[in-house]
Amino acid sequence: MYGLYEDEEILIKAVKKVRAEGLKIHDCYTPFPVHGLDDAMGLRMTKLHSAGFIFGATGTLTALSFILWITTNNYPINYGGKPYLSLPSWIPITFELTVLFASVGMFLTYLYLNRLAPGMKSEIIDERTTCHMFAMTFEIDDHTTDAKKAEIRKVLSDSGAVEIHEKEL
Amino acid sequence: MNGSNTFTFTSKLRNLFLGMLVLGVILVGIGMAMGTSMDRFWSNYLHDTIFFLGISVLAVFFLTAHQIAMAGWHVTVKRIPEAISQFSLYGAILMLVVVVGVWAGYHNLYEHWRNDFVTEKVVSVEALKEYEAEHGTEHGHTTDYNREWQAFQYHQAAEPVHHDEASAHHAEELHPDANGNVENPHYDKLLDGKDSYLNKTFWTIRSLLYLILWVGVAITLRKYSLREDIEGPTVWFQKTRILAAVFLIIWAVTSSTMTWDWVMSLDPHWYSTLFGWYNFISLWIASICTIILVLIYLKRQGYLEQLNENHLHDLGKYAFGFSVFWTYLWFSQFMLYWYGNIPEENRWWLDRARTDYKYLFYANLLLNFLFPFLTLMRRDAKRNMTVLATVAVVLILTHWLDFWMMITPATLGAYQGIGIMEVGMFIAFAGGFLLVVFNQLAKAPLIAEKNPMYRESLDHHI
Repeated sequence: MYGLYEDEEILIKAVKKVRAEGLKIHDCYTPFPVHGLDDAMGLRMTKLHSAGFIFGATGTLTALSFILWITTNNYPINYGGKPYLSLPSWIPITFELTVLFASVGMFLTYLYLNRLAPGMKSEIIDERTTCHMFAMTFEIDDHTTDAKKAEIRKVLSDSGAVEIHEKEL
Repeated sequence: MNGSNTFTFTSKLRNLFLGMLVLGVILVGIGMAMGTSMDRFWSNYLHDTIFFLGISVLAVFFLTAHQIAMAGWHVTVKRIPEAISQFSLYGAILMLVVVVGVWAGYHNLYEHWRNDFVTEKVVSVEALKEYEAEHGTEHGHTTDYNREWQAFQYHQAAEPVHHDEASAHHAEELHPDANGNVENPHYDKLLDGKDSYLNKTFWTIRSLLYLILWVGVAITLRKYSLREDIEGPTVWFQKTRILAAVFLIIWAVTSSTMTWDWVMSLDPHWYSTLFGWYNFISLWIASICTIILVLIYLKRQGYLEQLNENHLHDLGKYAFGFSVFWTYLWFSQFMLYWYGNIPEENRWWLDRARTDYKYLFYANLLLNFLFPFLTLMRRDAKRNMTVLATVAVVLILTHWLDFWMMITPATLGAYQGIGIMEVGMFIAFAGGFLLVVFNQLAKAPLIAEKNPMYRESLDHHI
């Protein structure tokens, strides 16, 4: 079930009101990023950057251990009289690999978390949310009582929703 | 909470800063009484002057860069760098003492190139005698690069030079030509090559030019900003933008040349093209951290109600990001010389990383990179006043150390440690600096509410 709003200010106020009444919002769909909506909805911070740190650290360790193995063990070459184990000359590669692992890893994690992939069919709840309308959605199923549905409808219309629909996805 | 927009400089705080100033001067006095050399005194004086003058001029850079970028968020913060920038007048006066000393000769900081004698190929015997009477017969600055290069290659201690053998030409033993001239044994080819840029007259003109331009812009910017408070955003906003653009052009040139003239020329045989940027970023982080500390102090006292953790987050991002950038420059500078391994270039690092300076040398790198990198990485850390204040204090001290590491081996040579003199001088300068900054803070409303970007700054959200 979802309600459509015409303005982001009304939506943010509505979100606060609905949450104050103790109803659980499934998600909000907006045509553009709305500042302050995350806070109003009480979303927790994404863990994407923690994943990024782990990917980056993996890249650092991969580069250092691989170069260490090659230059001192597998195929030692004398470059300009420097010792085989010359940390400064490894730093650029280590840096690059850290960035590469972190960025590619975060990109793929992002796609996975958002269920995005080339050719994937996206579920659009209402086409107008890609243009000028703001939607607030609630999950309902066969076990949801009519009283509950009525309560949601009432809250949506009270908080300024211009249309209220039910849709099966 | 006191929601006042005007800062009251309490006598308690004023006495604290005055106390710091007096304590620092006393410590320096004790240091001198304990027999610290005048060279060490002047080295510290130059070091702290450049550091605190740099912080105040970088505050001008903060204001102008954000003004040009139309960064609305900085309006609630901007009175703090404005107050800091007013120290530049006092910093310039302190620097003038160094500039005058190059002519008057009461300090030996720029001794290596100050004397024109070393750039003359042929000199008269009288001039040579006069020079050697004052400076001794040793070739003061002709280092045996090959010897040091070998020491670096094989990780051995360099053997001491025997100056008696190396300089066997006293004026008496020389055979002057018909005009009474001899070949100058102290002739320095590298300095002669730089003579058209690095000579006393041009150096003094440049130094004065930097100081006049910086202080002029700092004072004019402040004046515009205060007029805007009274008259509203009329012509002053546009005037500030024009002045900001002019300053950024000035700064683009002077930020590099300033460090060549005042820091790199302490060791005039060595040169680095990255040096200007490296110093610029070091001072920039110190300046950002000073802004953060003053801001957190005011916030804790209940001022600056409109300012929230989003503004703090932005300043924290600067401290974090530029610490990484500082490391990038440090390493870029280091790696090229390490890879090239040319004796006259890597000498600068041999003086630091292969002597008693080495512990502080590596501590400088680790503290300036790993510490802010690991503590400020999380979003929460940049929005937490306690964490941010701790990191800011550490970064100010370590960038002070960074400048110490550049200046001291060049001015004093062998490692003498950080003692009562260094600590005293820092405390004295910090006390004077804070006295000026807080005095200026009290002179104007803490938030420039008439600025056209004020509303935008209030709605700042990241």
